[in-house]
Amino acid sequence: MNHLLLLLPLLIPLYAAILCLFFWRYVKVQQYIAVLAQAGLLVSTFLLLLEVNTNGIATTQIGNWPAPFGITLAADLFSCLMVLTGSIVGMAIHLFSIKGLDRGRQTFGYYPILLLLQLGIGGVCLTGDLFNMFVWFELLLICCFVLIALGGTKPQLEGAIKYVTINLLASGFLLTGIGLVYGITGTLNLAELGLMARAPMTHPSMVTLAGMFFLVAFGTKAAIFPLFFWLPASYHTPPIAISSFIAGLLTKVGMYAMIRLFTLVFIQDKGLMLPLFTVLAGLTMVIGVLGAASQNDFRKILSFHIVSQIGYMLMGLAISTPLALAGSIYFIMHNVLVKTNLFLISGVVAHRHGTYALKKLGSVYLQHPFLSLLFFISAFSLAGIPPFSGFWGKFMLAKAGFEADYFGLVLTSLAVSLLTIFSMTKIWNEVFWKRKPETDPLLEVMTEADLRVNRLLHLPVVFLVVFILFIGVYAEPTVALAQRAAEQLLNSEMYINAVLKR
Amino acid sequence: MKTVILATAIRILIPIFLLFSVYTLFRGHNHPGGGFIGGLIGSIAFVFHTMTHGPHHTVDTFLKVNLYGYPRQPNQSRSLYLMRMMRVNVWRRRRQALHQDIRTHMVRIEPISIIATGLLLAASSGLPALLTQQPFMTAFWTDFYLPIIGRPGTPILFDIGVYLLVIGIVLKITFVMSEE
Amino acid sequence: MELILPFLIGILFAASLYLILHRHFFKLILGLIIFGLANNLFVFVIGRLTRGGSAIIPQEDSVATEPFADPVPQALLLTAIVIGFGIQAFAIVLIKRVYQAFGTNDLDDMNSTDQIEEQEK
Repeated sequence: MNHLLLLLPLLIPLYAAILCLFFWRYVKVQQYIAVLAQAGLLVSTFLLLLEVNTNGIATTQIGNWPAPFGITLAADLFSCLMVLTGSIVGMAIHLFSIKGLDRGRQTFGYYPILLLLQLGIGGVCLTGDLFNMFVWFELLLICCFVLIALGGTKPQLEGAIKYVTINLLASGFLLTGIGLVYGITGTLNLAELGLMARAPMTHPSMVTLAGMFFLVAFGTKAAIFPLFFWLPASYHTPPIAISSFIAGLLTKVGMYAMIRLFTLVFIQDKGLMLPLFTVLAGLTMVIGVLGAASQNDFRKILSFHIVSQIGYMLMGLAISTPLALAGSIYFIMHNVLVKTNLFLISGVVAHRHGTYALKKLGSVYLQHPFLSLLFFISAFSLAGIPPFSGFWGKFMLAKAGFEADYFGLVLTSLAVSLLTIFSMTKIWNEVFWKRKPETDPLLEVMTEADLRVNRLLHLPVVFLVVFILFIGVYAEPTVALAQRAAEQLLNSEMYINAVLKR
Repeated sequence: MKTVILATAIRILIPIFLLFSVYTLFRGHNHPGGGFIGGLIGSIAFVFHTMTHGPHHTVDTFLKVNLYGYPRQPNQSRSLYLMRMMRVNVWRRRRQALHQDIRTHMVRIEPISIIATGLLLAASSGLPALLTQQPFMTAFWTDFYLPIIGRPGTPILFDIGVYLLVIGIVLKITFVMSEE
Repeated sequence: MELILPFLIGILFAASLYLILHRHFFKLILGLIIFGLANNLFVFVIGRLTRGGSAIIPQEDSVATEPFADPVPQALLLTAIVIGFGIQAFAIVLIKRVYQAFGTNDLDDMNSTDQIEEQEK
């Protein structure tokens, strides 16, 4: 039962993608398959979370080869939470794509690729093998390349070429780092690497060197400070259904890999790593939010905010106490949901008005008060206003920071929160509150068909807002889960023993 | 690139490539070889054919199947009809195509379906293990030996899947790149 | 041999980074391909070179005889090559499309997605 439960998050999207390939010409069938598969994925990941929560870390050895030799799949609470969040967002995106993406793109293999992307995310989060993680990352990246370029409009191609180049380089660095790790230790199993990292070593500095390769590689994929510039240049180019999925999840998967590796394997040189992470986290937050303040496009503001929020996740890794890591984990979950939702809302607005430029938009509050409420909740969650989800993540991070004497970093993060509110207020003023320039908003009437499509587009947004409210207003269970996940991360013996069956 | 020499040589080389690719595929278990390299060798045949004759001709030659059929007679039983249809499609295909009652349906095999079949086979090679409460992809082997193939087991499914996948992908890439 | 290969890898890395920093599309893709090659060679060499000892167990034995090459880096390499093959095929098609759409082969001409001014769809 254990084997099956651990594999279902991988098998369901894989088989669904294969089925979609067989029905290449029938988009309608693909839509049904994809939505059903997403529902199945949601259920199976939730069951996996329950199982791991009650019975501890679940592992399975692919091909029945014992642990350090074969490929291990291991699910602890952190990976379960990531996979669950990913499947929630995937469900929303699939529901949105059915009406929100043009027919031409849907016929060109959109659904199978989206499902394979989902498979890649599950793979990265569940694997217990370094090289296997690289392979899943590549799968994920190829799917992203295709999705960003899908349709082939000029801005998309331009964004794709930047994205492809930088990410290929990052993958190269990742491969080099993996080679180094194998050369030094002779193993690629994460648990055994963790075991070796805790034993006395002959060349600890070499492991730190390998760690730097991983920092550069995953730092590029997660868009931390000096390596983020590809993100705002490419994320806003594809249609909104695609960019919201990629923007919501991809950088966080990179962050997941960083947290996993830098709490399990690369722990030798804390005196070097932690100050480095502190500086990077602070700079990432500040640069991201300043970049957002200067933009005039709905999606570009949100893209820069992704960079800024990556800083918060890195902040937890920099402080590296149980509370801080719990804050990071909670913050990742919150941010995946909220960021995807904000992108989807921008898509709903653009469906009505046909543009993302702040100057041309306006009067949305007058026309769609309900959508404005949904935006209000998401934006305040992002900024971290108390009853909503962002607050709890930031609160945990700030509290952990004060306890560990990281005053500068905490003050930076609070100032950045303030600037986040500024950006959100700017969007609110320009898009929702301001009167739409040069037109009379009450005279614009949508056709009946357009109105129906617009209502259907609200569905995924509402779906996500329910989860945002759940982890925000009733935060207790999620916070407790995040704290237990952080304890599992820091007491690596649990992970090592579970995988190596000692 | 239509040279007579290449076009003539290709006619002899294609069966050799294909046979050798299948041989490489099946010997891959305990010797160098396997699905990936076998698939690459096999796809060379199609790539050469596309280079000499163009993608449309390759599709016509290899990826189009004619299926024959005729309407069911009113007093014919359903199972008999099905068996007749199967026989029509297997036995003396060429000669029957000229027959008047028989209609031909052209079926085009898409590279995408080859890819999907390959993926399906490869992914399904792990499923028998899950059914018997073993970890995914645990291998099951039979006890008898076959010539060339050796002992059949579930990993051979994986290899065949990879073989089809590689051929499908190379075909797709070749067609996309040579169509312009 | 073990001395030559690190130098070769260094040269390949340097050449590839130089090509990637170039403004021309074609040199960019060449650089990416060479970068992949350099990475693969690096992984191969770091698994230690063993000449003439493949990691295949002879028919009559049950264990491989020393010295034999470490099969893991070779397996990693094979996987990395396959992945690289897929990505490079995609990148070449992408660059071809970009060339057709923009009619230029200068990367510096492609800066519209970075500009702050709002653009028409």
